[in-house]
Amino acid sequence: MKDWVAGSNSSRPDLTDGETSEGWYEKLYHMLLGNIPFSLLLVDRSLCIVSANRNFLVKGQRTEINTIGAAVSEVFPDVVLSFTQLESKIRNVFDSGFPLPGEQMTYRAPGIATRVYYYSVIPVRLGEMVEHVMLVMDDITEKVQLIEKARMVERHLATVVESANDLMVSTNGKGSIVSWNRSAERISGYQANQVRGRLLADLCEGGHREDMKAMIRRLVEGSAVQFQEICLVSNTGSLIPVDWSCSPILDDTGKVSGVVAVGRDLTERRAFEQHIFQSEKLAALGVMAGGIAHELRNPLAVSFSAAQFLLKPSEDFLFQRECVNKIIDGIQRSSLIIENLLRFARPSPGDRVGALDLVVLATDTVGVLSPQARLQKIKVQEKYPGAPVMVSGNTNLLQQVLMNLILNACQFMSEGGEVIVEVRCEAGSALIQVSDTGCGVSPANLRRVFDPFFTTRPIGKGTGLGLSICHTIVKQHGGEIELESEEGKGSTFSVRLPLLQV
Amino acid sequence: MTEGLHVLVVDDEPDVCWVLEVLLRNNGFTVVTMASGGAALNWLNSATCGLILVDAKLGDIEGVELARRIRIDTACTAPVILVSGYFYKDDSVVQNSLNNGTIAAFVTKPFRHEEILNAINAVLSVKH
Repeated sequence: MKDWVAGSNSSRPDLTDGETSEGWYEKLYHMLLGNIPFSLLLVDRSLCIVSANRNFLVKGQRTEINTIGAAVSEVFPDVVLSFTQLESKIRNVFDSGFPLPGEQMTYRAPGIATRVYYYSVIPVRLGEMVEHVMLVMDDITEKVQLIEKARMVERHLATVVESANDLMVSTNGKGSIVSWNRSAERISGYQANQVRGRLLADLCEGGHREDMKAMIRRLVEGSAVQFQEICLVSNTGSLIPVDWSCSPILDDTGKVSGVVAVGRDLTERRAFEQHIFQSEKLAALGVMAGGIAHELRNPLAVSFSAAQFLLKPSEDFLFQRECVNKIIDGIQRSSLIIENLLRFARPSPGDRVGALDLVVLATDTVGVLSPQARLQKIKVQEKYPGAPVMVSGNTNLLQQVLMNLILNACQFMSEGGEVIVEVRCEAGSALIQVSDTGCGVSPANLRRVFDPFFTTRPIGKGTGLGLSICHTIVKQHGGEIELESEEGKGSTFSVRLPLLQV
Repeated sequence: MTEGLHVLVVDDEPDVCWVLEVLLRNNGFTVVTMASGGAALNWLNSATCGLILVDAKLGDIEGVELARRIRIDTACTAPVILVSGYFYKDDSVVQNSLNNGTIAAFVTKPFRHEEILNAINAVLSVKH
C-alpha cells in the first residue's frame, strides 16, 4: 500500500501542519471509498452499519446520521430484505468466513428510481476473527437495460426471420446449417432440428450441390456472388426451385464466420410462367393460323378436284390413277401439316428436361413456321452442321424460344426478306442464331428488347412478351441470349446453351 | 363462246396448276400455267390471253398486286379471277379489289368445279 502511494506524490492530499502520516492514510482511505463507483457498507456482527461511502448515501438518498449505527433492517427496504434474504446471507459470511459470490438485487424504495445492483458480501478479518463484513454493491441498472435492449432487438430480428415468407438459412463457414427459419421448415418439410449441422449443399438437388458449395466457398473467401437458382429437395423428394441470395456473416474482426442464405420459393412463379408461356405460344399459333390454313387448303383443293374428276365416267385409266395418287398425296400432305401443328401446340410438362438435338429441334420448328414465312415472302435459310448438337433442356420450351425469334424476325420484315436459322457448336457452347434482313433495332431500344411488355409495334399487334419469355427460358436453361443489331440492316439473336457432353 | 380461249393460270403450287389445267382443258379452253408473278408478267409481254386465274399468295408477289401490275405493265385487258385458300370472300382486300375492278371474281380453295366454271362464265359474259 505504501509503495503504491509513494509513486504518486503529486496526488497526495494536502496535509495540514502537524498532521500525522497515519491521519493522512485515513484521509486517503476515505477519499478512495468516497469516490469509488460502488456502494460500500461496512457491517458489524450485530448487523449494524459501521460505515457507508458517499456513493451508497447518494444512491439511497440517505444521510450519514440515519445510516451509520442503524441496523441493516432499517437501512434497506423490507421488500429488498425479504427478497434477497440479505440479513441471513450476511450472518452466513460471519459464520463461515467465506465471501458470498455476486448476486443480483433490485433496489426499490419509495421516492427513488428502481436500480439494479450486483452485490457481494466480503468478510473483513482482523487476525483470525471476522469482525466486519463489507457489502459491495455495483450499480448495473444501465447494463441490465442494455442487455434487455439487446434481447429485444434479438427477439425483433428473430420474429422478422421467423415470419419472413422467404427461406432464411444461416450456415457456418463450412456450410453447415446453423439456423433454419419457419418458411424453410414449411417449404422443405424439414424441421430446424432435423437439418441443423447438416451441409446446406446436401439438401440441394444432386446436380447443383457443387454450385451451392462453390457459392459458400466464394463468400467465405470474400468474393461477391450473384443470385443463383438451385433446387432444394424436400422431405418427400420433390424438387423446389429456389432463387438464392447469399451474403457473408462477418465477425468483429471482419472475418467471414458464416453465410446467410435467403431463398425465394419459385414454385408459384414457375407455374405462372408455364401458364404465360403456353398462352403466348397459342397466341403465336394464332398468328400462324393464316399460313397454316393456306398451306392446308392447297392439298385439300387438289384432292377435292381430283375426286370430282373421278366422278365423271372416263375410259382413261391412266388419268384415273393420276387422280387417285393426287388424292392420296393431298391427304398425306394435309395430315403432315396437322401433325406438325399438334406436336407444336401440345403443352409438355414444363419440368421435363432431357437430352435433345438442337438440329432436330430447329428443323421441326422451321417446318411449322415456314408456311407463315412464305406467305410474307420471307425465305428461311437453314444452316446446320452434319452432326447433332446436343443440349440438356425442355424441347417444348426451347422450341418456343426459336419460334418467338423467327416470328419476331418475320414481324420486322413487312416487305419480305430472309431469315437465317443457324445451329452450331462454338467455344464449348451450343449456339442458335436467328438473323434477319429487317429494319433492325435502334441503339436506344437494344437494352430493352428483353423487357416484358416492351414492343415497338402498335397495340394489338404483339404482346411484347415474346422476347422476354425467350430470355426467361434461356436463363432457366443456364444459357445466354443476346442481340446484335444495326438499324436498317437487320438483327441477329444469339442463344448460347451449355453443350451436353456425350 | 369460250371455245379455244386462252387462259393463263398463275399458281406456285404445281398440283393446283394441274387441277385447273385439266378442268379448263376438259371444258374447251387452252391453258398456259405459270408458277410465279414475274414469269406471268414476262409471258404477257409477248403473248395474249382472254382470262387469267391468279393465286392470292404467290412466292414473289401478292395475287391482287399481280392483277394491278398486269394492267399497268402489260397491254393485257383480260379479266382476272382470284383463286385463293387464304382469303375469304368478305375480306376487305377481296371486296376492295372487286369494287375497284382489279379482279373480276373471287373463288375460294377448295372449290367445286361448277363454282369456278360458273365464275368464269359470268366474268366472260360480262366482258363480251
